[in-house]
Amino acid sequence: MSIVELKNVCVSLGGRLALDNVTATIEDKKFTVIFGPNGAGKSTLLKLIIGQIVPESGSIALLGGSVESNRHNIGYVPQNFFAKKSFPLSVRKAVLTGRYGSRIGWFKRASDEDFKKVDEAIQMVGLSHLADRTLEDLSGGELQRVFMARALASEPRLLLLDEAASGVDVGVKESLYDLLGRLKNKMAIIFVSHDMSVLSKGVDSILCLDRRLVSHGKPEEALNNSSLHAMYGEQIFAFSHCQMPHVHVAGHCNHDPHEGEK
Amino acid sequence: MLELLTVPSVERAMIAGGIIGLVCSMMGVFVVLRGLAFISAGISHSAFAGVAFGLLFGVSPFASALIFCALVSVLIGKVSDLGRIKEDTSIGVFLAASMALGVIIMSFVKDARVDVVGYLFGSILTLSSNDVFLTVIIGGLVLGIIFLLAKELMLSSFDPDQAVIAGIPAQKLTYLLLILLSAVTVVSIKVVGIILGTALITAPAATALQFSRDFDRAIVLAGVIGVVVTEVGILLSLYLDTAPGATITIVATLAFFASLIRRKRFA
Repeated sequence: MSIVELKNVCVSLGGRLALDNVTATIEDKKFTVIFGPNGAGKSTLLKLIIGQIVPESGSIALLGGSVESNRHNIGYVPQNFFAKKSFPLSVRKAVLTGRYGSRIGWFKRASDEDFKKVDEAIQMVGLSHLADRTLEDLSGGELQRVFMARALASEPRLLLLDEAASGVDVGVKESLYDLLGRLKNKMAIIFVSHDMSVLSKGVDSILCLDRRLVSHGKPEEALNNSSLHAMYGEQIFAFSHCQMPHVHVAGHCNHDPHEGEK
Repeated sequence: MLELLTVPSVERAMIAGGIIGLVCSMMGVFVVLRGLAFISAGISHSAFAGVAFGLLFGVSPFASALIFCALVSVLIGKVSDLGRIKEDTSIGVFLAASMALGVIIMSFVKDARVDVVGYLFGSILTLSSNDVFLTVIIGGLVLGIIFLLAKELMLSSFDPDQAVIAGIPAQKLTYLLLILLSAVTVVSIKVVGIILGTALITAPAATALQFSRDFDRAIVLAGVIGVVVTEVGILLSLYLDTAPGATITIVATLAFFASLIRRKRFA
């Protein structure tokens, strides 16, 4: 079953084409990674899925229906979680916000069931000992896990992570990837990343984007020299080792794929 | 000094001042956390043009100020979107233009009884019973909306993207917040005036956020601080025979600096 279906989607932002005629289907209960250079439209695609922007042309379906009627099934881990550190909230209350709207409606208050789900989500990311601390007290890695717990507290069918592994150390990144590996049979995961090391963590599908869809499919099929050249330039190569695709950078890369458009 | 508290005009000032201090400060927590302090300055300054319109056409200056403030608050957002310019630039343009428009319109108002300085810097001791009644109504309405939508307003301040996913119209709530801000700005004109209008909105909220690391407690604490600084300011102004609006502003500012020092010492 498809969880997200894009048909000939075009999006312009500030007079510039951010997504150009993208057609792709993302399957349910699969771990999909979206790769692409800066400005490739990765975050635009996520904004499209959460309904923050609408396509200029083409269509998008979420869980077979409209984005508006199904977006409560999305758990979202933002890219800029560091910016929310100064907001005066405890870990438990920040995670509880994941249930606002979808599980705790307008004018309603959180029930015991809501707090139970919140505590389970906090436990899942290993932050139970920090549940009553404020966001301000947390490190970058802990903060990232708070937003992961918030996404899980919403009991999502689709988990979206927007470069959620950027700016955190290797240990935090590894524990995030392990958690995603454990979750992938329970929900669909779409992970926007620049980090190729995620490929060894049970990724089912890769979507390579450079405003247009460059390639889409199983990692060993979608990530090849041709797709890497199209996205990053000619000095990056793909090779296979232990049945997993790897990437080799053949020196400093000065190639700008959008040079001709400037 | 104590006899003064039984004077009807002082009684009215204490009641209305307390309500305005409470409402402005609670609203202020959202303003400070969203980084909207400058927009609040833009809205309060635009009230001058609204007051001037009201005086020129013989309608209630507060009603016309409310409409003008709400209009300017929405226009600031729209112009920022249209012109692809930063919001602070748009606020700067509207702030200066509103004051200039107010000054030009005021030059056509020939009524000698009009107290322009009172509008600019507050005249809390001249409040009528009707003014107090209006303050209670608008203050109660704003507080009621904040209480009912506290969860949704908090989420759209904390994380607008998550609010959208949750089906909460974050942008519409921002406009609602700006309209509520316009309402409290207008009722605070008599207390601290147009020029000092942002003081009661930002200073007690910023003070509360130095002390409290919990959103709900910060809102309650901001309300308490707002009431205390307003009442202390009024009493001090009576004792020192100084302008009430300016005295309240200085008390609120001193409280803010005291909270900064305390936080630094105990950090």
